[in-house]
Amino acid sequence: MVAVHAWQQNDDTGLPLSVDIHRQELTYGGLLSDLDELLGARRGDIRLQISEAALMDPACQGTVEQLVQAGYLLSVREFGTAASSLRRLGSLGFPTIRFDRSFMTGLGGRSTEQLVLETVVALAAEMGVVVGVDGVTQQRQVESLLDLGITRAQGGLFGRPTGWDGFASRHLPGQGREAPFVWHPRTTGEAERSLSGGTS
Amino acid sequence: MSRPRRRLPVAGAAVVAGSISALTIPLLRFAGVDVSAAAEAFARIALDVIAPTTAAFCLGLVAVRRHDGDRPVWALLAIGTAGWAVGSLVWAWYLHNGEPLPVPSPADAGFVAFPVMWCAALLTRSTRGGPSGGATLNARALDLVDGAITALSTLLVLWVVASNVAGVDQHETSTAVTMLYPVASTVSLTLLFRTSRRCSNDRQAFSLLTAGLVFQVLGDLGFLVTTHLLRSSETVPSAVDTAWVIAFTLIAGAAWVAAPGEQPGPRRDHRRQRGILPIGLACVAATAALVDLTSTSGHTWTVATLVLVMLLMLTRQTLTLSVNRRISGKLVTSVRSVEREAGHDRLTGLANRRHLNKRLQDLIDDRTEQAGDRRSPGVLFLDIDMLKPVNDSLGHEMGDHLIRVVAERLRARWGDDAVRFGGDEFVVLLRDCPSTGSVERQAARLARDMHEPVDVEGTILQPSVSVGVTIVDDESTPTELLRRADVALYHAKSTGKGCSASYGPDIEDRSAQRIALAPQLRRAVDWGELELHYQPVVHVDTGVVRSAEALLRWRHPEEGIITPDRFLHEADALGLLPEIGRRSLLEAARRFARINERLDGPGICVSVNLSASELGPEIVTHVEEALADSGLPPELLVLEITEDVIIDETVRRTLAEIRNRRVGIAIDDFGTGNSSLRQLGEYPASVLKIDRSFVSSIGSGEHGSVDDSRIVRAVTELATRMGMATVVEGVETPQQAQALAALGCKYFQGWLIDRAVPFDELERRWIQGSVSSERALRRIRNGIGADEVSSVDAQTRTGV
Repeated sequence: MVAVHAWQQNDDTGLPLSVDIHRQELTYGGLLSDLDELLGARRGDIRLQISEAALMDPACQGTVEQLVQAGYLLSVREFGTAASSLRRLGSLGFPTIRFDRSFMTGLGGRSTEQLVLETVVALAAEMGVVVGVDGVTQQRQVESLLDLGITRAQGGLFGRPTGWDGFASRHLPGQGREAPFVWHPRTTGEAERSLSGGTS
Repeated sequence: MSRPRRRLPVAGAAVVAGSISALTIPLLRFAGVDVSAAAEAFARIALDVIAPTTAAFCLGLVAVRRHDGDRPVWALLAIGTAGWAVGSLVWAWYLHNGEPLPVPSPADAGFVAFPVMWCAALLTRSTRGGPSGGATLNARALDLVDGAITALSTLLVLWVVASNVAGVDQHETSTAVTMLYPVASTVSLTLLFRTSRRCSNDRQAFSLLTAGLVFQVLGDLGFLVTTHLLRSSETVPSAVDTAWVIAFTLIAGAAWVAAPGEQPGPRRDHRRQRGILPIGLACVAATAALVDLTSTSGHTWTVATLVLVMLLMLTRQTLTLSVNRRISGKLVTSVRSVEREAGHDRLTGLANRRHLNKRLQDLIDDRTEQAGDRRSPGVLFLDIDMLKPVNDSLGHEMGDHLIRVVAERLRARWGDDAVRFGGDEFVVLLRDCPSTGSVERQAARLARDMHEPVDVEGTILQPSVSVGVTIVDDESTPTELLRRADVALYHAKSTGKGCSASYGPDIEDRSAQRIALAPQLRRAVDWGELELHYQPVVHVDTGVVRSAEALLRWRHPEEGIITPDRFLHEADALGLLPEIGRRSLLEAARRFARINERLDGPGICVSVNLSASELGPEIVTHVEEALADSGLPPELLVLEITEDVIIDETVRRTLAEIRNRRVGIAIDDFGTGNSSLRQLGEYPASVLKIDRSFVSSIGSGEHGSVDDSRIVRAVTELATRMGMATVVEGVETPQQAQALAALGCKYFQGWLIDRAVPFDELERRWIQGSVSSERALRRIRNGIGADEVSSVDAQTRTGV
C-alpha cells in the first residue's frame, strides 16, 4: 500500500492505480471497509480489477454492487473467458475491460479472437466502456491492436512488473531521466503513440 | 517343477547305513568269519571318512545347482561338513602311522569347522527373507542370545557332570576340547530350530538336517561320555561311530531332497514356541549348578556361568517382551482402523450411513430435551449436480475427484457431521442452529460456495450441489427426516441446479404429483402420448418460413397438453430421454422429408432439441438412423443444444461428427448460460438463437434495454461474421419485431408469428402448396389481428 500513497502524492500523473481483487476477497463480506481503510477516501482514483469469472459468480455479486455504489472504478480482466458478462457491463458504472491474454494469440486475420475483439470494441465504444488487452508480447500485435482501435495494452513488450521505485523511474513523468511513456526495454514509436491516446 | 523328493527313502538309507555300521562286524563274527582287529579298525575308519565326504559332496552339489537365496547357506553347510571329513582323514592318518594324537590335534581344527560353519550357515539363512518375512534386528539378537544360553547351559551341565560324577580334573585339556563338540553342535541345533521356524521353505530338507544334527549331538555326547567320563574305551566305540554315520547319511539325504530347487513351505505364524530348547537347557543347567553348589563347596566359575545364563535369560525375556509389545501395538492399530473403516467411507473419509439413523435419533432427542432452548436442528440432504456427464466425458477418476472435493468442503465446514450417504449423495446434520432461518441460510450458502472452481490436474471443475433442507420438529423420526430432506432436494434439483430448497407442504404436494407422474410418463412413452409440435421461424423481410422448431408435448388423457418443463426433468431421471429423443428425431425427419419433397426452392429446416444427457456418442447413430429412414437431406436437420452443455473434448468431437454429416447445430438460449465469447468460435455451430430475455427487454423500454439492444446487434453481427445465422426467440409484438429488424436480426420465432402447433396445423397454415409468406408479413407489421386472437389460446408458452 506504500505505492498508493506515493501514487496519490504524485497528483499530476492523472493515472488511476489498478488493484487486483480476487474471487475469495469478493465473497468475504468486509472488503469495502477494508479497502476504504487501506486506500483512503479517493475511491475514484483506484481501479479494482475483477476477473470475468468472479464478476459473473452469483456469490460475488453483492460485494461488486457495493463497490460500484461506493464509487470505485472497476476493470474486468480476463474478459471473454468466462460466462459472457456483456449484459452486466452497463450496471457496473463505467468499467474498463481487459481482454484475456489468450486473445492475443489469434490476433489478425479472421480468427474468432479477432472477430470477438472487433465486435466488443465497437459495442464498448457505444456503451462507454474502455477496452484494454493483456499479454502483448510482440510489436506485430501492437499494430493489430491499433487497427482495432484498442489503445490500452499491457504485457511483456512494455515492461515487466517491477517494484514501485523501478516503475516510477521508468514510466512516470518527472521521476526519472526518461520522458513520460517511454517503454522499456523495446521502445518503439508506435507503442508510444498507441498509449498517448488517439485511435489510428 | 518335478515332484518334490520325499524323506522316506532317506530315513531308509539312514537305517541301512546305521545297520551296516553297527552290525556288519558282529554279524560276520557271529557267522564265524574271522575279522582281525586291524581290519575292523580300517573298516570303521573308512566309514567315518566316507560318510562325511559323501555328505559334503552332496551339499556342495546343492550349492552349485541352486541359484536362489539359500545358495550361500548350502555352501557353508558343505564347507563345514567337508571340514569334518578332513578332520576324520587327519585322524585316520595318525592312527595309520600309530602316532598318538596331540591335544588339541590338527584333526580338531577340521572337526571344529563343522559346528562353526553350520552356525554361520544357519545365521545366514535366518537373515534371509522367506515368505514369512526376513528376520528383524530383534529376532537376530534373539538368535545370538539363544545360542549363547544354549552354549553356556550345555557347557555348565557337562562340566558339572564331568567334574562331579566322573571326577575329571578341571585342568585336563583333552576333556575340555572333547566337551566343546556337543556344546557347539547343540548351539547349531538351537539355531537350526530357530531358522526353520522363521523360514518354512525347504521344510523337508531342513527336518532331515535337524535329524542329522540330533544324531551328531548324540554321537558327540557318546564320544565324550565313553572316552572321557567313563573311560570305558580308549578308541571310538562302535555305537558312537554309528550315530555319526547315521547323521551324515541324513545330511546327505537332506541335500538329495533339496537339490531339485527350493520348495515353498506353508505360511507359519510366529506363535509357536521357539525358545524351548535354550530354556529347557538353562533349567537343566540351573538344577545341575544347584546340585553342584550344594554337594560341593562349589566352584566360582559355576556360579559365574549360572549368573551369566540367567542374565542372558533376562535379556531374552526383555527382547521377547518388546516384540510382543510391538505386535500387540500393531494389532490395536489395525483393530482401530477396521473399526474406523466400517464407520467411514473409503473414498472420502467421511462418516458413512452406518450410524446415520442413530445419529439422527440423537439429533431429535437433543431437541426434545432442550425444548426451552429454542434451538432448531436441521438436516441437509445434498447431491452433486451433473456428476454423470463428468463421469461419462472426463472419466470416473475425475468423477471421484469431484466427489472428494465436495466431501472435503463439507468436512471443512461441518467435520464429522457430514455423512456420505452413498454415490453422490451426502447428509449434513446441523446441530447448533439458533433458528429455522439460520438453517436455510446455511443451506443456501453451502449451495453457493460450492461453485468455487477447483483445478484437478489441469482440468477446471466447478462443483455444484443441490440441497434439500428439513427442520427437526416434534413429529420427526430418522426415516421421515431423510424422506423430507430428499423430497426437498428433488424440488431443488427440478427448479434449477446448484440451489437449495426447504421442505414444506407445497413441496410435499408436488412430490406426490411427481410420484404419480412417473408411471404415467412411462406409459406415455409406450403408448405414444408424446408428440411433437412445431413452431415456425420466418425471415423478417420476405415472411417465408425457413425453419420450424420441433417442441415436445404430452397429450395427457386427463390434463390435456402438458409442456416439457413439467415432465422433462422426471423423464431425465427415469432415463427415458434418449428414447424420446430418438423418436423425436425420427418423426421430425420423416415429416419434413415429406414436405420438402413437395416443395421447390431452398426447403424448410427442422430443428430438434437435445438435452445434455442425450449428447452421448449414440446421438450420431440416432441422427444417421433418422436421416436414412426419412431421406431428409442432412442440411435440413438442425440439432439445438443449450449453452449449459459442458463443452469438453468428447462433446466437441460428437458435435463435429454431426457437423461432418452436414447436419446443423444451433446454440439455444444464447446469452443466459455459461458460454464465453471465446467459446463461440469453438462450438461447431451453424445457428445462434438469442434468448427471449433480450427480446422482452427490448420491446418494453425498461432499464438496460438500450444496452441489450446494443448487445443483440453486436452478437448478431459477430455471429454473421463467423458464418452463423441468428434466430431471435420469443418475439411477441410488432414493436419488438421492428426494433429487432432495425438491429439487423433476420429470423424471428415467437407468438407474433405463431405458437407451436401440431404438424397438420402447421402444414395447413403455413405450407399449403407453397410456403405462405403474406400471413407472416401481415403479422410482423400489424401484430395479430383481432380475428386471430382467439386462436392463440391460453396455452402455456412455447419453449423448452
